[in-house]
Amino acid sequence: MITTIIVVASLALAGAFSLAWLLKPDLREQIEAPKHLFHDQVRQYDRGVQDTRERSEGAADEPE
Amino acid sequence: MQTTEPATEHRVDTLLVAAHGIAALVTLLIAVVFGLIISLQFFLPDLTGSVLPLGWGRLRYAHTQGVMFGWLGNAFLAFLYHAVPVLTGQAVTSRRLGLWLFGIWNFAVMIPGWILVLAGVSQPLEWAEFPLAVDVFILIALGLCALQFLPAFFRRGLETLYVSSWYIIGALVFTIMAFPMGNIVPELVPGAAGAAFSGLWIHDAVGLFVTPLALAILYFVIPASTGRPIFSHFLSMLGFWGLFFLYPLNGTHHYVFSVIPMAAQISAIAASALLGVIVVIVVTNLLMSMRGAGVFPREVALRFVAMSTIFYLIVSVQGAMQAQMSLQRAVHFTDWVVAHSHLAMLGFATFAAIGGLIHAWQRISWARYNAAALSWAYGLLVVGVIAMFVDLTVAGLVQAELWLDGSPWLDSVRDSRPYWIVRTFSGLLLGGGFVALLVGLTTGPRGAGAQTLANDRPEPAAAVVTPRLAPAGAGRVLTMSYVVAGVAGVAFFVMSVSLLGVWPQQILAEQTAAMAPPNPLGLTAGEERGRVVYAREGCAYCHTQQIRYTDADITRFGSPTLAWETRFDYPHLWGTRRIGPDLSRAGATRTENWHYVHLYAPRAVSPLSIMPSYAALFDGSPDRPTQEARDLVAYLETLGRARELAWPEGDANAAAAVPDDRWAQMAFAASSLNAHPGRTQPRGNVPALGSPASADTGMMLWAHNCAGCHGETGGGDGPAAQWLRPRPTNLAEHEYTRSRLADALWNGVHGTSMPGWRDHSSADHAALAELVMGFSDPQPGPAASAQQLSLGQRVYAQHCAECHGATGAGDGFAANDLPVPVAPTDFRNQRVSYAAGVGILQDGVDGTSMAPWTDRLSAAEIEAVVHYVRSLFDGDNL
Repeated sequence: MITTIIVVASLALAGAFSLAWLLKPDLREQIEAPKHLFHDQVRQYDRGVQDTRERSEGAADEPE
Repeated sequence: MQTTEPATEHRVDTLLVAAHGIAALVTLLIAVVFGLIISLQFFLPDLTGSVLPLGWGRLRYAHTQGVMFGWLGNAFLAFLYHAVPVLTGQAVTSRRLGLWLFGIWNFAVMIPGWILVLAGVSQPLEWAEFPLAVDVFILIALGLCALQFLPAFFRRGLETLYVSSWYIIGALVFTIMAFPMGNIVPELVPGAAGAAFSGLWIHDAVGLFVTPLALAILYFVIPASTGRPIFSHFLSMLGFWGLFFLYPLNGTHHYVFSVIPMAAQISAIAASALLGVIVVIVVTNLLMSMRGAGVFPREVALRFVAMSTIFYLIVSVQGAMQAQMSLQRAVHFTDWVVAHSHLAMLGFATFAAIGGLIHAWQRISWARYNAAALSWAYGLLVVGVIAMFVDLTVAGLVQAELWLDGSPWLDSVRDSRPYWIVRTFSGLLLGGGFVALLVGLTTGPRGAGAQTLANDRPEPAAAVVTPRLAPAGAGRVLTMSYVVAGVAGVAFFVMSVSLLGVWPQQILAEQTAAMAPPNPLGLTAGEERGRVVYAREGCAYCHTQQIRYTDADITRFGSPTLAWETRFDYPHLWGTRRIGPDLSRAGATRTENWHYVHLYAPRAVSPLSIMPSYAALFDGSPDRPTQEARDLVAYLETLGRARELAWPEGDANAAAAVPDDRWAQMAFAASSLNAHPGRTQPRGNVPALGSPASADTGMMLWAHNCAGCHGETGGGDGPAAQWLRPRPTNLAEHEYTRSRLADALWNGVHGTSMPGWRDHSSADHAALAELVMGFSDPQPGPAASAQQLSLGQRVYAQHCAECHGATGAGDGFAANDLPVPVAPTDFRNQRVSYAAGVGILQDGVDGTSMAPWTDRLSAAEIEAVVHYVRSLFDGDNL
């Protein structure tokens, strides 16, 4: 009985989630948006790190 | 958009990243040294002598807590200090809070935890070995973690949260809820019910603390390293919610075939299978996200997380498989499970943690970085983890087969030895890899990590892409669905605690009330102190105290453990691994004297044993036990006592209380004897000796099982002989019938250190009987005259028959009431040499009721009675 509840509840939640993804294109796009946002944040961060490194290297190369 | 806020890279507190990173590496190396020492002790059991703080049990506690809290805890924190500002665009709460958190995590948890555990202050609970005083600081630290990292997430909308954020939030919230289940509740809930809660934490420690943070790293590092977003955020969220729904429901699969209600066990097994499916989805998504990066990615952080992903798949599928009853029946308690846990913590989680740490380290402009050393670390760690996993998995299968086919217990110890040696070598590889990791992150030019990044990915970062955001309505739906899922996640956690903890507790309490005798015997103060010593030294980590409802367990160890038998166990001592045998019914199986010798010098009485010596509990000799040794042995003698005292009326009542419980009935129907099957028994009811195994087998059996007491040539002069009372028999001075030898080997010799060897085959017994008869060379002495025999008969009838019986059968009227419970000798089936017989009458036999007779018998009478007694021997005509 309890085992059945666990199995059914898990499958129902996964099913509902999947169904929403299939039937709602807007929602689909919304669900996928964070991965693009994160990707941009990471690239922005890495570019900042590179810029900092290049600035510090440039400063070190400048004649006194 | 212009902003006055500092750029994201300036919001990352690199000092705290580095501080936790270094702390992680240092604690990792210390924990690995602990692990290497305990792995060496498997085949060099006297490596650390009897220094208690370096004993196997205490080091084992320190090893696992060090890996989880010292290494993984610090490494995850280092990653969080890097990841949270990147994920949220905001700084963590405060540096001051971070310094407090660093201080508490390392100086109020790790260092005191290790010191206390090694000093003998601990909890005998898997993944919860630090004592309660330290647990309080862990809870405080977890609370500070939430305060430090969570606010940044909640300043943003849920619909923009990336999957790593979800995992971080989930880990921080659920760990605080799960931690007390295994660390505090078993101190308050006894025995079987406490074990049910303990099982929750065993799995939640991995499932709700380690796994989410490791997956947060994988989902973070993979897109950052490949330069592409992950394959599917939808699948990642499906995996996230699936894991958080199902992980908490897995806990009871650590106690399958136990007395915990079968419905809870089956639920955990079903959840484990479902979890395996979810993990396949997660891993598929991760692998799809890495497509194109190659099997051997150039960037070292990606290399580590890629391998972590593979390990995650293997360990999760393996976990789902081994939770199933058919496999669990065989491999539970074996090294298979140790292989599984090492693959989880040192494979999946550690590789993820290293990947995250390197990723963050590469972005610290002032940090040193040595790429060559990190490549070495990767190679050594991959080989080390795979070697350890394969080696221990095979070892587990070997042990499982030997346990299932009823082989003598020590056969599994003997046959495991090569695997344990290989395990140590694989541990050395791991140690080397971790040293290389430390070198990689502490040597080399400053800022070389960032340079490596530029070299690995020379193309400039593309322009920032504005995320494709859906209309606001869809965002609200998504936010609402996440809120619903969040509530459902908490509900599943509450359900797991209710279903796998609270409900079994109630059922077990009802069972206990129905089955327990009216006034079951608890522990005396001394026995309770002994229990503390047993827990402190980690005995439960080699000797389980749960006989499962399986035929193999019942045959080997006796009747399965019932809930009421564990009602006084705070916390439970069920254990999760059997290196030595289960001790649930060990009471009265051995003599007190044997226990002292075994604790003092284990290999003296059991040459194949790998048990550590506890000579520190003695004042220089087994004859001089300290109070702690006395208490420990007193506790060992209680194991199984309550059940035995209740038998048979108690078992009949208990069986009647659960007439329809098929599993519970196994506890009563399986064995008519609730004691350990190896316990000594009265003479008789012996199966006939079969055809003897080969002489070589006999010699091997002798060397492994008998020589410690009886000596290599049966002279009664083995290493343990000096301490045993009565001393082991000098077999050269005795002559036995085959039936007597069969009886001694099957039933043991009650009251002495000679146990029953019923786990050996009749062919083994026959081979040993042949060997012992070969040792026998009793000299008859001078020929006896008819007059001497007549005198001897009169003396015997007057002084000896009351114990040894009128016919010498050892069945005199006083035989059952002797002050020392060693049965009088049956002279019909064993004969002593003349000289030894005279010696016995002159000096008595220490450790038995046989006293010296020189004060009552003359020399002539002694000689006469020895001649008479020798004449009673009837060879094998009985």
